[in-house]
Amino acid sequence: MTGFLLRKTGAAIVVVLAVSVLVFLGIRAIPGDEATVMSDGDPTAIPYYRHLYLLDKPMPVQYGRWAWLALQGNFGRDHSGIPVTTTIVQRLPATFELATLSLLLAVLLGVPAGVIAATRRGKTTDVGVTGTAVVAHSVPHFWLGLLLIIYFAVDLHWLPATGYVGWSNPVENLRHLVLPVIVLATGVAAGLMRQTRSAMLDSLGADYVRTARSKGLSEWRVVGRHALRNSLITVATLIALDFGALLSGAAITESIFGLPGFGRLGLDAINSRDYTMLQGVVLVTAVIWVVVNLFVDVVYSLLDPRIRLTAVPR
Amino acid sequence: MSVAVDALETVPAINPRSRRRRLLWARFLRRKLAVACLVVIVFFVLAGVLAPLVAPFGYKAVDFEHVLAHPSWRHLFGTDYLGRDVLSRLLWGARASMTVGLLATALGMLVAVPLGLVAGYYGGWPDAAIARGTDVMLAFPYVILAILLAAIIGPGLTTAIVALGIAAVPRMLRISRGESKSLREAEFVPAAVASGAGDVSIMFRHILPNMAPPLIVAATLTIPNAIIGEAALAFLGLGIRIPDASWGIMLKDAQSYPQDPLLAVIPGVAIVLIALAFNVLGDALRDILDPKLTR
Repeated sequence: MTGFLLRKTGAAIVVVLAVSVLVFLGIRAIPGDEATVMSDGDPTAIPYYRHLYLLDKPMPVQYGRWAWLALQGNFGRDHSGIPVTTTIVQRLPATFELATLSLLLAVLLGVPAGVIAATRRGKTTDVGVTGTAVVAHSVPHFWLGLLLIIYFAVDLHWLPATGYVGWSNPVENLRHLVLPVIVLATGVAAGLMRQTRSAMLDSLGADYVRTARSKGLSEWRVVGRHALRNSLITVATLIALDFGALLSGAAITESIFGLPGFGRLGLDAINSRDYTMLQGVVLVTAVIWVVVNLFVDVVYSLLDPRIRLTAVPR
Repeated sequence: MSVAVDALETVPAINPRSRRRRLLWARFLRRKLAVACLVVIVFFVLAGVLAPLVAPFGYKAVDFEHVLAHPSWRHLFGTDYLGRDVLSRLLWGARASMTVGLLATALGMLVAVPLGLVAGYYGGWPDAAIARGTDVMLAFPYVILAILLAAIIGPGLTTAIVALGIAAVPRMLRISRGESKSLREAEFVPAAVASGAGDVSIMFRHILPNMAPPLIVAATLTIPNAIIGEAALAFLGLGIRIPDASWGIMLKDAQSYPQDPLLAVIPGVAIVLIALAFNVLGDALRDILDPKLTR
């Protein structure tokens, strides 16, 4: 187990290092550096800002300094002088809440639907559920968001179209999140349904299920106790990965619904050409994904010890 | 010797390959839904290719006298806030959509398939290195990739194709690696070695053709993601830019006119239709090409 943990953590560190180098080089590749943006057309100010942002130093020095500070949680300051870390920390709660609620709804819809479809394989119910999932998978999030805003916010005035209210006012907080949660949960639920269905079909075809049936157990017990429990390992992994994707990939939904979340920061940064901010945001996004993956690998190996032996890269 | 070869060649029509192909076609034609999807796809591709010929108006042609007009015989789907014909913009948008959908998928395959072949064939450190590379790619959501690319080369068609192409790599890489790994154990590999084939020739002339079915399915299922991604990036201002037509830009414009919901419904329905057609076709192809999965 220790060897497995070390190997996985080592791999994650290598990935984070590679990601940080790529992010750094990507930002340097942008034509017109931070100094050009900040000097605002005044050529005499350029050297000052080049010095301020260390742009007059060699690249390895720049990278080393940035990476060293980033390790300590310091991503520099944005154009208005506010530390990037402060802004990221401020923006995370909204994204975290959105991701958690969306995932909750998606699991409640997707997993039971997948189980039902698998037990009625080939019947009308299965075709209906699977068909709904394919349709849900083919609908672009942002379009669904747009339609929900037009119908429920503009036409019916039931729910607010955009904005976010903090946790101090729970009712308004939830009212603002209903539509974005529906939008994000739809896609995730469709994916979970399909994956649960195929995991259930696998375990329903396994020998231990035949044994359970031949012992005369009720269908309910066979499905619930034997097949479902064995499928849950796979499904749980996928749920965790979905959470990682929701944390880092909610940019579009957040920008349609005007939510001050972390996902939108990258878009805001590029619109204001704030490269220090962009660099920090991209790195944090990537690190969140790597950490969630590492977590999934470790938990998976606890649930299913066989994986430790075959843990060659998937 | 030469007599025997001649005799073989004159035997009519028991070419196993063309027989297999006819069998697959027959299986495909029996699925009415899959055929309908293919028709939808052909329709949209034709719309994209023929947009300059069949569109009743130019995609940039404004008509300030008929702004936000309702559907009529002159403007079948109405006009937008500048009086541009929605149907014409829809047709031109199909062109952007199909271009990005197909090219991003092609780019993804071009990168992923050779890497997957090598990783699965050799195993060991090349496999581990490619797996780490995939992890790095997975750490960048496609919107973030597009943001970076848009900052470097500017927003546009290329940014959308490259960002969505890279996003498609990990999944295709996983599939081609798995196939390559299992096909490496097939009987034809030692046979090829015995006849003096090198690693490269075994990988590309013997293993690659045999992984075509799962790759065709994967490509068919990647195209709709790229199509949706194209619209999303254009919507965010990272993909195709105004004044060019894209379904994403039409939706972006519609956002400001919620009192005219048709403007938002029409491009969205187009996206759902084409994405659905590819997704259903992909599922059907999986059943047809890989019967062991269905039984």
